[in-house]
Amino acid sequence: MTIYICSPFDKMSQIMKGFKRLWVILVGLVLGSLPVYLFADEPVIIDHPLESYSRIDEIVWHGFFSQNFIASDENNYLGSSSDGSFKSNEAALNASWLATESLQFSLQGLYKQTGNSKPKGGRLDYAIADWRILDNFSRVAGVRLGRLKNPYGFFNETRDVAATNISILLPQSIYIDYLSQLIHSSDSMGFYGHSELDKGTLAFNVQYGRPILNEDVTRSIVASGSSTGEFSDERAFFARLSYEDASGLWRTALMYTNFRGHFDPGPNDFLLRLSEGKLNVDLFIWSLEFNVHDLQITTEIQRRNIHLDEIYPFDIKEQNLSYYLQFAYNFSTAFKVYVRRDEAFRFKDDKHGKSYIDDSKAINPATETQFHSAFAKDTTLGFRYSPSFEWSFAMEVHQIDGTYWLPDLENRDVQNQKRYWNMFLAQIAYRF
Amino acid sequence: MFIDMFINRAFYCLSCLMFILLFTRVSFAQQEESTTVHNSVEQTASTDSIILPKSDQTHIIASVETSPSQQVIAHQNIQNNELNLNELRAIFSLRARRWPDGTPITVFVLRDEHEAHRQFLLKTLKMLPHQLRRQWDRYIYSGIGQGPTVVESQEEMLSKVKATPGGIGYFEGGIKDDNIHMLSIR
Repeated sequence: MTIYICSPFDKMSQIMKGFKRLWVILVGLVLGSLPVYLFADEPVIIDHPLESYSRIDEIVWHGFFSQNFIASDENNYLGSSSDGSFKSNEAALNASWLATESLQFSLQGLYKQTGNSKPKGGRLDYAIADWRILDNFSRVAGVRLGRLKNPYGFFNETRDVAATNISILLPQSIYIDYLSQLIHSSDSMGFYGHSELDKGTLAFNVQYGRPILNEDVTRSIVASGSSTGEFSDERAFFARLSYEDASGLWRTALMYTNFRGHFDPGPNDFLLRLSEGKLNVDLFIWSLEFNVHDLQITTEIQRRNIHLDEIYPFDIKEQNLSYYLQFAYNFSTAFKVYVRRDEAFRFKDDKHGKSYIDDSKAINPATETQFHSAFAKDTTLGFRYSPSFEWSFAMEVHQIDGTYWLPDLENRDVQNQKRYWNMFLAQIAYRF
Repeated sequence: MFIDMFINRAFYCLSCLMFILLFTRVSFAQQEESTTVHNSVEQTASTDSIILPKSDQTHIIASVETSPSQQVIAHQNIQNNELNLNELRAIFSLRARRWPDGTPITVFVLRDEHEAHRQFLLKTLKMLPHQLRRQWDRYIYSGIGQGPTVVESQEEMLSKVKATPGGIGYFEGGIKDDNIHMLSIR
């Protein structure tokens, strides 16, 4: 077992840092709300003859809950799944309030457990002040401020709400659960808008700010399970352009993301050969979906360029490639079956990890890295039964070749990670 | 162990099959659409309609005649005389939040499993129910908007739409009311 060394002072400063961020968000929300009182429009009087009416009634509440069960024959995913794991669940409550016709506030508290990864317990998932500058039938534009959900692929913004996803696990090549906090939201400022065209809607979304990193995410970025280093000056930029056919027959989106940060190694990181350096990640996703009657076909392709500059004694440049193709068929409004093939490669030019292992051996002959950590090919088959808006149940099986997105966190013994493994998942979900 | 039969080759064969299925469906859909448009031109307003009590006629209900038995109903203060299909879709997809005169739009819908709701989406909006639900979920759960107001029955729909300035909803069965304002679809 690895013991992470951390002085009480370091711990204190981390907690203070967390509070500081929360304060920035809260102050931002309060300042953002000032226009409500300064430039408030005439209140809209809604004619409710029988009900007494107050502004509290304007707050709209929603929430959701889900619990997954995971079993695997080899390797562990989302907890000790080889013995059966319940360590994948979430519960959330959100509130939104339309303060004026053009200003909206919303907030969500989330409790989420993803295997044994951090953070455990509750957290502020999003806190958004949304100001619509332009708002008419053909064009909309606005500004958002606060902790925003990142425009990443088709499904990131609603990924936590189990019933909104087709499958239990989203394609892990693109929506890896162990990095979900990093991918999911960031403390940022964003511009958005859409324009109604003759046959569809063209929408854009641009966001710039600070990503949310925790020590597990930092460790997986520098690929070292016992590092105590931290990133400073971390920045995330997101841009997405999407088009949706008016009838909903098809939609497509093009997305670009950039993550960057400065790595400051922890006191003992020199033992891991980690030093001060820079991280830069460029990421592109192209998404496409067809909806024809009861059949839904979805595909997304991701290219990711990772550059670790000076963090290791040698530069690391990876060109990842991942894609999936998914078919879902609605037998009735309540019952659907889905099948998906999801492939991810650490090196787009070395799909079988051959030169990856040769290079690793050249640097460190005692390396425990295995060639199958350079790819992961996942075939999924499952069904979802949603008898009502509120309730949803799902089951799925995965047949996986490769361990690219298998977390070392759950599988400490790298030599023991098996190339071929299978998973079974079951889910019960509720929302309102 | 679980799905040994489910090897790559089988998957790709299945994919091809699904694609063939898809494109036959697409061609079917186009045929269907052209016949629907043709029919709706010929058909006149439905005869089965309900008569509202006099006391309820305090507000004029504007109506867009869509399919014979379905009507889009809106609060009396709506000054629009016509809406095109894409505007109607923008309203029900929650992308449009204000009427041209600035009044905020309040969208009323029945529960997802209600047959009148499904028929309205399929026949009038010509959209798939799960597509619209996906768009609503994005507003409800990602903090960028609010979902539509869900009502339990058609009667509740009628009374809520009448009581809410900027309200819009739909009604199946037709409404016989002298004060109904017919909107044409561009």
